Amino acid sequence: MNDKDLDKKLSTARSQSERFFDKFDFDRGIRMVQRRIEENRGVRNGGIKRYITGRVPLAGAAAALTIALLLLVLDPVGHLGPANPGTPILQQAIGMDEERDSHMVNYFRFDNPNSDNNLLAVLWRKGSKGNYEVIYSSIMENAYTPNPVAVITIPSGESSFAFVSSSSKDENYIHYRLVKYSSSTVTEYLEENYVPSGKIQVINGMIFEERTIPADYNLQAGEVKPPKPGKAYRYFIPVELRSDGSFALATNRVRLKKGAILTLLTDILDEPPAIEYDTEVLGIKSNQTGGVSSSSIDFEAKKEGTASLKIGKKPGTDNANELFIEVVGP
Amino acid sequence: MLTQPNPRTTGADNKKEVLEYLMKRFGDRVFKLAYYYVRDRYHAEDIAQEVFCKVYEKLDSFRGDSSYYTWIYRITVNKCRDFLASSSFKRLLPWGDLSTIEKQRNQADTNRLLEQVEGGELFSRVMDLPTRYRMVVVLYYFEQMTTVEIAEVLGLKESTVRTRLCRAREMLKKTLAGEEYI
Repeated sequence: MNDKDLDKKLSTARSQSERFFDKFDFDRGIRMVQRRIEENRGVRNGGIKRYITGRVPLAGAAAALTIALLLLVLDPVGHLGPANPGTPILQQAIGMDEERDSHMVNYFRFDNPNSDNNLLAVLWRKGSKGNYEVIYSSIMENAYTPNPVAVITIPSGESSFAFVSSSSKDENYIHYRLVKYSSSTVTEYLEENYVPSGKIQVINGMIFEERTIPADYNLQAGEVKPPKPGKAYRYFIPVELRSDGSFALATNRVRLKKGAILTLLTDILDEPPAIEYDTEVLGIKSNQTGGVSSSSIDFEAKKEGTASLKIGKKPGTDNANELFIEVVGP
Repeated sequence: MLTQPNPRTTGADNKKEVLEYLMKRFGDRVFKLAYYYVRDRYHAEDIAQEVFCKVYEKLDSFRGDSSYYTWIYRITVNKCRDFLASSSFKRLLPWGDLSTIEKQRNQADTNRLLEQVEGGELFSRVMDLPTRYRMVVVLYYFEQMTTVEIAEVLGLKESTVRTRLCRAREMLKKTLAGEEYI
């Protein structure tokens, strides 16, 4: 990375810091300071007595404020949230339909008999009266840290996707789930557990996964075993069959690392899409069989260059959507 | 528009007026500075409140040798350093009490998650830098302070600030390299 790239990233980080601090309001702090001063007024003794007199009520006030703020942060949608038997360790309001905070994800921690840290991720939908109902839940075993939920929407599409994940720092693996929400129906598109030395991120409607692989991972018959483990990169793009018969993609442009796998995720079991692509740059790895789900299509980024991948309902159809692909060096 | 009251006039009411002006003028910045140090919004808020209590207490003795801004920043830095020192000490006390240590670890993770959710991944990555490097980076790049101002606030030589900035940039280059998508 050169200095220019770093400066750009620092500029982005600055904007992110502004966004982070925008949510904080020091007006409450001002009132607390005034109260502290009022409480200290009239205490004529200086030194230790003054210190103690000032601190004792302060400790209580600070604790109360801390608890109040904690509740505020953990319950950003107010008091309409569900009554939980346990306290969620992370709660995030998300919008999966037209309303901004239409859904919510909670992560609960619970121990199994081995006292391992497990997480239960629960996706709630807010009803018209402000009540919540569970529409999806999933357990992530031996997971330590919940990650923020990302929502993927397909432009002019009819569905939204929630991406839920967790990681374990000690064991260095991740778990993740991709859940589709459409017309009040939930479908799990993707479930991966114990991804070794993994990193996962949602960028521009695409899920990018990095994992550490054993030497013989993805080895084809007759290929020489690589000398040591390496990194494998995978890009997942949700695809949706619209009611007009065309396919919609969550993104139309993607840059892949050479050797990476591109996976189109669909839920169309009976009508596989017709696909056209540049076979120099891309190679198909699996179509409907052996992929991450029963209806995924895997491509391998074989060679550096650019390619266009057309996806339509029938061969030669005019109703095709196009994905522009750039394959870059590792 | 905030109008600066005259700090030279005496009297409790005037002191309160000055304090209110200072809190409105610098409250957010003091909170941010404290957060950059302690990386916990509740502790940062508590520190910010303590800073202004201290400011109120010392307002009569403020001689105007430096600007209010620098004076208040210095108080904040000292409070944060005290907090971190006492916090390190507290971490040694509950030895054997693993659940307390676990709670602290969980809280740190939660704070980091909030940074990612409410700010962004890059902000959180900058905050992951060790404190001495983090402080110069955030003051220089986020708060747009000059190296001279940073040196004054942190009580360092300007050359030290520059050295730390260089080292922090190298650390960030390594950390962020090859993570266009991360």
